[in-house]
Amino acid sequence: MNDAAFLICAALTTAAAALCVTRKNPIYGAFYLLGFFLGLAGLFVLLAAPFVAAVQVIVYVGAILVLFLFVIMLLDYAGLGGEAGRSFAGTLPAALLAFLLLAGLGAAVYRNAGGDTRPPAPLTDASFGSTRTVAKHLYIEYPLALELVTLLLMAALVGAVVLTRRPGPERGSATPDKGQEEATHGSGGGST
Amino acid sequence: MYTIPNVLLLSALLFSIGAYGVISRRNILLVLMSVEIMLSSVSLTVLAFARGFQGTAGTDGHVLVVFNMAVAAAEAAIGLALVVAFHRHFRSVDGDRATTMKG
Repeated sequence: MNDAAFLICAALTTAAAALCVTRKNPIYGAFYLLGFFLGLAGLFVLLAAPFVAAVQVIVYVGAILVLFLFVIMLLDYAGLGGEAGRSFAGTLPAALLAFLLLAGLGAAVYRNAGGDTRPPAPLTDASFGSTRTVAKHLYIEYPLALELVTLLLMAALVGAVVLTRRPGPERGSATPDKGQEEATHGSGGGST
Repeated sequence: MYTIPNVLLLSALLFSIGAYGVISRRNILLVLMSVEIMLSSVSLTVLAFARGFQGTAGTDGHVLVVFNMAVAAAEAAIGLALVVAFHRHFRSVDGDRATTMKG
């Protein structure tokens, strides 16, 4: 039962990830990323982490993936012309590097735990990974880290707004950013 | 089949796929997606160890993954804002077009 679930989720995540990074069109990539996240959530449930699996679906699929699709739609994709084709030989160094990384990580796992062919020990505590357990631990043991993460998210929010703000005279800023105006040469300004 | 080392190997494989995407792709949207794959595969590693340890140490791992997700969300927001700014400057999402600082 667990073996079958593991195999299905592993195959789904691996196939979806491989397809995602090789697509030309980012929209297809985003949809394969959806399959990857869902398969990963299944693996999280299998690893006795139902709360984390739920957060994974809510945050990654509900927020990050939607943000990706939103940005893809926001950019006028027809005018981009896609990615110029890169030959297989062009990606060979990248494939080699990734394979070396995999070999190193795999060797590390094999050397330290290769002989362990038993399924994970049964849970000693049935509430392990439940919302109550994780939340208690989060709020009692790591309140400072939690506050810092909220600060980080706030900073990211403000940073995203600042980065996407259109520099324009109608903004009435006291110090017009000349370098940025020159950089947008011949682009038609804010007509789109 | 379903053993902790196999889960670790799977997450190593997913991490390598993500690394391949980051290195080989030029479309910065796909590069960002590959970064998300790498971040998520690290979560899988941490959860595999958490399943092995159980108890308080395991719950520590779950908390770490929750923080990892918060950081991933911040990264996605900033990264996509950069994509929008990049597209505004260069009229493209091809990372190789950014040659302003080329010597």
